[in-house]
Amino acid sequence: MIIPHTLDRRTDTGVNNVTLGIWLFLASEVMLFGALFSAYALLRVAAPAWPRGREVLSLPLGATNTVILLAMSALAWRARSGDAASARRLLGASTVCALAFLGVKAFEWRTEIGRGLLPSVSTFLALYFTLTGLHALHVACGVIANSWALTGTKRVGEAMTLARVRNLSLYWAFVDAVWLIIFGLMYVS
Amino acid sequence: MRLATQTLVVAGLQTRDRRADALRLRLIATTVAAIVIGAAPLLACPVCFQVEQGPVTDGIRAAVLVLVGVTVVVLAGFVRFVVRFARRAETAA
Repeated sequence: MIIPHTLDRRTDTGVNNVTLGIWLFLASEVMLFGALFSAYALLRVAAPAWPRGREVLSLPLGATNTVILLAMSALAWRARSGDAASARRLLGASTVCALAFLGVKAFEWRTEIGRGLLPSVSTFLALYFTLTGLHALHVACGVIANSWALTGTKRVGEAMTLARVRNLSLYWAFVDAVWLIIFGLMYVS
Repeated sequence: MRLATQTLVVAGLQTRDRRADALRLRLIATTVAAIVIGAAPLLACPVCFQVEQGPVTDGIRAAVLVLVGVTVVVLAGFVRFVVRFARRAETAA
Protein backbone atom coordinates (compact mmCIF):
# COMPACT_ATOMS: atom_id res chain seq x y z
CA MET A 1 0.00 0.00 0.00
CA ILE A 2 1.26 3.46 -0.87
CA ILE A 3 0.52 6.06 1.78
CA PRO A 4 -0.82 9.19 0.05
CA HIS A 5 1.16 12.45 0.14
CA THR A 6 4.42 10.75 1.06
CA LEU A 7 6.22 12.49 -1.79
CA ASP A 8 3.77 14.99 -3.24
CA ARG A 9 2.72 18.02 -1.23
CA ARG A 10 -0.77 18.21 0.17
CA THR A 11 -2.75 21.00 -1.48
CA ASP A 12 -4.18 22.17 1.86
CA THR A 13 -1.01 22.28 4.00
CA GLY A 14 1.60 22.83 1.29
CA VAL A 15 3.90 20.16 2.73
CA ASN A 16 3.97 16.41 2.43
CA ASN A 17 3.25 14.11 5.37
CA VAL A 18 6.88 13.16 5.90
CA THR A 19 8.07 16.77 6.19
CA LEU A 20 5.26 17.61 8.60
CA GLY A 21 6.13 14.49 10.59
CA ILE A 22 9.84 15.34 10.83
CA TRP A 23 9.03 18.88 12.03
CA LEU A 24 6.74 17.51 14.73
CA PHE A 25 9.44 15.02 15.72
CA LEU A 26 12.03 17.80 15.92
CA ALA A 27 9.66 19.87 18.07
CA SER A 28 9.45 16.99 20.55
CA GLU A 29 13.24 16.66 20.47
CA VAL A 30 13.64 20.36 21.23
CA MET A 31 11.46 19.87 24.30
CA LEU A 32 13.56 16.85 25.38
CA PHE A 33 16.86 18.71 25.17
CA GLY A 34 15.20 21.87 26.49
CA ALA A 35 14.30 20.03 29.70
CA LEU A 36 17.93 18.92 30.06
CA PHE A 37 19.25 22.44 29.46
CA SER A 38 16.78 23.67 32.05
CA ALA A 39 18.21 21.14 34.52
CA TYR A 40 21.69 22.39 33.59
CA ALA A 41 20.66 25.98 34.36
CA LEU A 42 19.15 24.94 37.71
CA LEU A 43 22.19 22.94 38.81
CA ARG A 44 24.78 25.39 37.54
CA VAL A 45 23.22 28.53 39.02
CA ALA A 46 22.45 26.79 42.34
CA ALA A 47 25.92 25.23 42.64
CA PRO A 48 28.28 26.92 45.11
CA ALA A 49 31.21 26.23 42.77
CA TRP A 50 31.32 25.25 39.10
CA PRO A 51 34.45 24.08 37.29
CA ARG A 52 35.63 25.65 34.04
CA GLY A 53 34.90 23.15 31.29
CA ARG A 54 38.16 23.72 29.43
CA GLU A 55 40.12 22.86 32.58
CA VAL A 56 38.30 19.55 33.12
CA LEU A 57 37.55 18.40 29.58
CA SER A 58 39.68 18.29 26.45
CA LEU A 59 38.93 21.44 24.47
CA PRO A 60 40.92 20.31 21.38
CA LEU A 61 38.91 17.07 21.17
CA GLY A 62 35.66 19.00 21.64
CA ALA A 63 36.67 21.49 18.94
CA THR A 64 37.65 18.63 16.60
CA ASN A 65 34.25 17.06 17.07
CA THR A 66 32.59 20.43 16.41
CA VAL A 67 34.42 20.76 13.09
CA ILE A 68 33.53 17.15 12.16
CA LEU A 69 29.87 17.70 13.00
CA LEU A 70 29.71 20.99 11.10
CA ALA A 71 31.26 19.29 8.05
CA MET A 72 28.79 16.42 8.39
CA SER A 73 25.82 18.75 8.61
CA ALA A 74 27.07 20.79 5.63
CA LEU A 75 27.42 17.62 3.54
CA ALA A 76 23.93 16.44 4.49
CA TRP A 77 22.52 19.88 3.68
CA ARG A 78 24.31 19.96 0.34
CA ALA A 79 22.81 16.55 -0.47
CA ARG A 80 19.38 18.23 -0.59
CA SER A 81 20.13 19.90 -3.90
CA GLY A 82 21.17 17.63 -6.71
CA ASP A 83 20.32 14.31 -8.23
CA ALA A 84 19.93 11.05 -6.34
CA ALA A 85 23.45 9.84 -7.18
CA SER A 86 25.17 12.92 -5.71
CA ALA A 87 22.74 12.88 -2.77
CA ARG A 88 23.76 9.31 -2.00
CA ARG A 89 27.44 10.19 -2.29
CA LEU A 90 27.14 13.19 -0.01
CA LEU A 91 24.99 11.32 2.49
CA GLY A 92 27.60 8.56 2.54
CA ALA A 93 30.30 11.14 3.27
CA SER A 94 28.19 12.63 6.07
CA THR A 95 27.77 9.14 7.54
CA VAL A 96 31.55 8.74 7.61
CA CYS A 97 31.80 12.10 9.44
CA ALA A 98 29.16 10.97 11.95
CA LEU A 99 31.10 7.76 12.60
CA ALA A 100 34.29 9.83 13.05
CA PHE A 101 32.44 11.99 15.59
CA LEU A 102 31.39 8.90 17.52
CA GLY A 103 34.94 7.56 17.38
CA VAL A 104 36.41 10.79 18.78
CA LYS A 105 33.69 10.91 21.44
CA ALA A 106 34.37 7.29 22.47
CA PHE A 107 38.10 8.06 22.72
CA GLU A 108 37.37 11.18 24.77
CA TRP A 109 35.08 9.32 27.17
CA ARG A 110 37.63 6.52 27.53
CA THR A 111 40.36 9.02 28.39
CA GLU A 112 38.15 10.84 30.89
CA ILE A 113 36.98 7.66 32.60
CA GLY A 114 40.63 6.52 32.72
CA ARG A 115 41.47 9.76 34.56
CA GLY A 116 38.77 8.98 37.12
CA LEU A 117 36.34 11.58 35.76
CA LEU A 118 33.16 9.60 36.34
CA PRO A 119 29.58 10.92 36.43
CA SER A 120 29.48 10.22 40.17
CA VAL A 121 32.41 12.59 40.83
CA SER A 122 30.53 15.89 40.35
CA THR A 123 27.31 17.43 39.08
CA PHE A 124 29.27 18.96 36.20
CA LEU A 125 30.47 15.54 35.03
CA ALA A 126 27.04 13.97 35.56
CA LEU A 127 25.55 16.64 33.29
CA TYR A 128 28.40 16.29 30.81
CA PHE A 129 27.92 12.54 30.43
CA THR A 130 24.13 12.85 30.28
CA LEU A 131 24.10 15.59 27.64
CA THR A 132 26.90 14.23 25.46
CA GLY A 133 25.60 10.66 25.89
CA LEU A 134 22.12 11.55 24.72
CA HIS A 135 23.57 13.57 21.87
CA ALA A 136 25.86 10.71 20.83
CA LEU A 137 22.81 8.42 20.87
CA HIS A 138 21.14 10.81 18.43
CA VAL A 139 24.21 10.75 16.19
CA ALA A 140 24.19 6.92 16.29
CA CYS A 141 20.47 6.90 15.38
CA GLY A 142 21.26 9.32 12.53
CA VAL A 143 23.92 6.92 11.23
CA ILE A 144 21.33 4.12 11.23
CA ALA A 145 18.83 6.38 9.42
CA ASN A 146 21.48 7.39 6.85
CA SER A 147 22.36 3.75 6.22
CA TRP A 148 18.67 2.92 5.85
CA ALA A 149 18.24 5.71 3.28
CA LEU A 150 21.38 4.69 1.40
CA THR A 151 20.59 0.99 1.23
CA GLY A 152 16.93 1.42 0.35
CA THR A 153 17.46 3.41 -2.85
CA LYS A 154 17.00 0.47 -5.22
CA ARG A 155 13.84 -0.63 -3.42
CA VAL A 156 12.06 2.73 -3.11
CA GLY A 157 13.39 4.66 -6.10
CA GLU A 158 15.19 7.97 -6.53
CA ALA A 159 12.33 10.31 -5.69
CA MET A 160 11.76 8.66 -2.31
CA THR A 161 15.51 8.62 -1.61
CA LEU A 162 15.74 12.37 -2.29
CA ALA A 163 12.77 12.98 0.02
CA ARG A 164 14.48 10.95 2.75
CA VAL A 165 17.73 12.86 2.25
CA ARG A 166 15.90 16.19 2.60
CA ASN A 167 14.33 15.11 5.88
CA LEU A 168 17.56 13.61 7.17
CA SER A 169 19.35 16.90 6.50
CA LEU A 170 16.81 18.64 8.76
CA TYR A 171 17.54 16.09 11.48
CA TRP A 172 21.30 16.56 11.13
CA ALA A 173 20.95 20.34 11.31
CA PHE A 174 19.10 19.87 14.60
CA VAL A 175 21.76 17.48 15.95
CA ASP A 176 24.41 20.02 14.94
CA ALA A 177 22.61 22.91 16.69
CA VAL A 178 22.29 20.86 19.89
CA TRP A 179 25.99 20.02 19.81
CA LEU A 180 26.95 23.70 19.41
CA ILE A 181 24.95 24.51 22.57
CA ILE A 182 26.51 21.57 24.46
CA PHE A 183 29.98 22.61 23.28
CA GLY A 184 29.41 26.17 24.45
CA LEU A 185 28.01 25.11 27.83
CA MET A 186 30.37 22.27 28.73
CA TYR A 187 33.68 23.00 26.98
CA VAL A 188 33.92 26.75 26.49
CA SER A 189 32.16 28.40 29.41
CA MET B 1 -54.10 14.09 21.64
CA ARG B 2 -51.22 11.87 20.61
CA LEU B 3 -49.17 14.88 19.53
CA ALA B 4 -49.85 16.59 22.86
CA THR B 5 -48.72 13.45 24.72
CA GLN B 6 -45.56 13.29 22.66
CA THR B 7 -44.86 16.97 23.34
CA LEU B 8 -45.33 16.43 27.05
CA VAL B 9 -42.99 13.44 27.01
CA VAL B 10 -40.34 15.38 25.09
CA ALA B 11 -40.75 18.36 27.41
CA GLY B 12 -40.38 16.02 30.38
CA LEU B 13 -37.23 14.54 28.95
CA GLN B 14 -35.82 17.99 28.32
CA THR B 15 -36.58 18.98 31.92
CA ARG B 16 -34.90 15.82 33.17
CA ASP B 17 -31.87 16.52 30.91
CA ARG B 18 -31.60 20.05 32.24
CA ARG B 19 -31.78 18.78 35.82
CA ALA B 20 -29.09 16.21 35.06
CA ASP B 21 -26.93 18.93 33.46
CA ALA B 22 -27.38 21.19 36.47
CA LEU B 23 -26.49 18.34 38.81
CA ARG B 24 -23.43 17.52 36.75
CA LEU B 25 -22.35 21.16 36.76
CA ARG B 26 -22.79 21.36 40.54
CA LEU B 27 -20.76 18.17 40.97
CA ILE B 28 -17.93 19.53 38.79
CA ALA B 29 -17.96 22.89 40.61
CA THR B 30 -17.85 21.15 44.01
CA THR B 31 -14.98 18.91 42.90
CA VAL B 32 -12.98 21.86 41.52
CA ALA B 33 -13.62 23.87 44.70
CA ALA B 34 -12.54 20.91 46.85
CA ILE B 35 -9.33 20.51 44.83
CA VAL B 36 -8.52 24.24 44.97
CA ILE B 37 -9.23 24.55 48.70
CA GLY B 38 -7.58 21.24 49.53
CA ALA B 39 -4.46 22.07 47.55
CA ALA B 40 -3.54 25.10 49.63
CA PRO B 41 -0.14 23.65 50.60
CA LEU B 42 0.70 23.37 46.88
CA LEU B 43 0.35 27.10 46.37
CA ALA B 44 3.78 27.78 47.84
CA CYS B 45 6.94 26.15 46.57
CA PRO B 46 8.41 24.16 49.48
CA VAL B 47 11.93 24.90 48.20
CA CYS B 48 11.92 28.64 47.65
CA PHE B 49 8.91 29.87 49.64
CA GLN B 50 9.72 33.17 51.33
CA VAL B 51 13.36 32.91 50.31
CA GLU B 52 14.02 36.02 48.26
CA GLN B 53 17.73 35.52 47.60
CA GLY B 54 19.73 32.35 47.48
CA PRO B 55 21.46 30.06 45.02
CA VAL B 56 18.59 27.55 44.91
CA THR B 57 16.04 30.29 44.20
CA ASP B 58 18.28 31.72 41.48
CA GLY B 59 18.76 28.25 40.03
CA ILE B 60 15.05 27.55 39.91
CA ARG B 61 14.44 30.95 38.32
CA ALA B 62 17.07 30.27 35.65
CA ALA B 63 15.70 26.78 35.00
CA VAL B 64 12.15 28.07 34.63
CA LEU B 65 13.33 30.83 32.28
CA VAL B 66 15.20 28.34 30.08
CA LEU B 67 12.23 25.98 29.94
CA VAL B 68 9.77 28.80 29.23
CA GLY B 69 12.11 30.07 26.49
CA VAL B 70 12.29 26.64 24.85
CA THR B 71 8.51 26.19 25.11
CA VAL B 72 7.91 29.63 23.58
CA VAL B 73 10.21 28.80 20.66
CA VAL B 74 8.38 25.51 20.01
CA LEU B 75 4.95 27.12 20.35
CA ALA B 76 6.03 29.95 18.01
CA GLY B 77 6.92 27.26 15.47
CA PHE B 78 3.46 25.75 15.80
CA VAL B 79 1.83 29.18 15.50
CA ARG B 80 3.83 29.79 12.33
CA PHE B 81 2.51 26.51 10.92
CA VAL B 82 -1.08 27.40 11.83
CA VAL B 83 -0.78 30.92 10.35
CA ARG B 84 0.69 29.43 7.20
CA PHE B 85 -2.20 26.99 6.91
CA ALA B 86 -4.74 29.77 7.52
CA ARG B 87 -3.18 31.94 4.80
CA ARG B 88 -3.21 29.03 2.39
CA ALA B 89 -6.86 28.38 3.19
CA GLU B 90 -7.67 32.06 2.52
CA THR B 91 -5.81 31.95 -0.77
CA ALA B 92 -7.57 28.74 -1.79
CA ALA B 93 -10.98 30.19 -0.91
